[in-house]
Amino acid sequence: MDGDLRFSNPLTEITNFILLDSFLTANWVTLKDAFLHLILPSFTLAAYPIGLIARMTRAAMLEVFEQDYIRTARAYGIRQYVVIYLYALKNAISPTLTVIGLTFAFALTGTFFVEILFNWPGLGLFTVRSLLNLDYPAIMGMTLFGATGYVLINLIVDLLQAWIDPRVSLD
Amino acid sequence: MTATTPTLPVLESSGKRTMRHVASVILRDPLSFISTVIIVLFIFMAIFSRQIAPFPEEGEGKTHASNTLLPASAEHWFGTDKLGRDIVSRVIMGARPALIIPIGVVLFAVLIGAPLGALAGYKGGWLDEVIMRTTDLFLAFPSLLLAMAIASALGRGLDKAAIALIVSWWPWYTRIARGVTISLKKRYFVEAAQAMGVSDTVIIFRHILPNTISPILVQATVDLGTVILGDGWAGVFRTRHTAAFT
Repeated sequence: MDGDLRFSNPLTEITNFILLDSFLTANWVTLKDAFLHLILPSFTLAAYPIGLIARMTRAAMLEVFEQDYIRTARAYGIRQYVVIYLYALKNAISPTLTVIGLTFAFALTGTFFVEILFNWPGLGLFTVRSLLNLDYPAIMGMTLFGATGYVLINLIVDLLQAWIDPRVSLD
Repeated sequence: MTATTPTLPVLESSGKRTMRHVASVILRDPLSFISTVIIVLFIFMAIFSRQIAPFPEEGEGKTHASNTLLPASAEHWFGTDKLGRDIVSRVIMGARPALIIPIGVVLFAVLIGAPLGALAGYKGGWLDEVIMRTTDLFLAFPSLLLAMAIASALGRGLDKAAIALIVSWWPWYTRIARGVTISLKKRYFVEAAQAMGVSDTVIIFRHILPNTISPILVQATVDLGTVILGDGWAGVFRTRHTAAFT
């Protein structure tokens, strides 16, 4: 993003997030440009988790569909999509949530291939460069950042699981 | 399945029946039949790689200085690399590590991760905290950093790369197994087992772990592919002589 529209449309830096800053300062040209540059990297990064999450949900759904309460719900004549998305998915989402959390935390720092391909000066590329250059303060900083990311995400996932599934108790 | 299968003999064991069902499904669907044939051929290539490869020594890493960078020819089907080694032989010899390492890595990661996760989820309390904070610890390190640390501590080689992969991979299985276990442990079959005085070890291994298998299996099958690609770490462990698909 170094050679972007910042020369023709200078951006006031408030948060240093290009999308946020251009939105806050109503700089629509830069906002559109930044958004367009996000599409391909996002899809590239998403390609692997899409398959994983779909398979994970499918496996859990197949088990849930054999339960008695699904048959009961169907016998009551509840519509098919309500049965699937409200009754079954709620009981099948737990492993998927875990995997989504792990994938998200991994994507914070572990995506340097995509960053190299799209010439994106991201955290993953920064981590790998500092590792190869033995830049210790940077390595420690990135490890700390990664740890914070994982711990926060795992906390959020645990809370979400307890909220979705009352059988899970947070003791 | 019940609609199409004819009445089965009652005395047949369930394992045999499952095998017959699997075989019939594979034979009925041309796509899965072709896939099975390719996988079996690949396994044969890995087992008999020394016999199949035209230049087995070069496949193992022997250099041949006078043959560097030859184009494809009848003798060298894929040409030779810059150290003069026959690339067909390298590919064929690479099949064995490409088969063994992912299976080994995923197997060990599951064997370490899943029981720990089930234990953490089932016991709860301080044990849960200790196990889950340990997994956070392993997850927190950038995987490349762990790989480099292990490479400098143990040396290079594909077996060391496998160890590095196991070390950074098992926490995923721990978290998945724990997530499923904490919702399983309030189910009636677990409470019934507890009421009958079944020991915790038996409950974890016989009642809980088999029920966590499906998400773990999904993660494992996806991981098999990721491990073959090596996730970019092969460079840390690359020796000049081992051939692999990474």
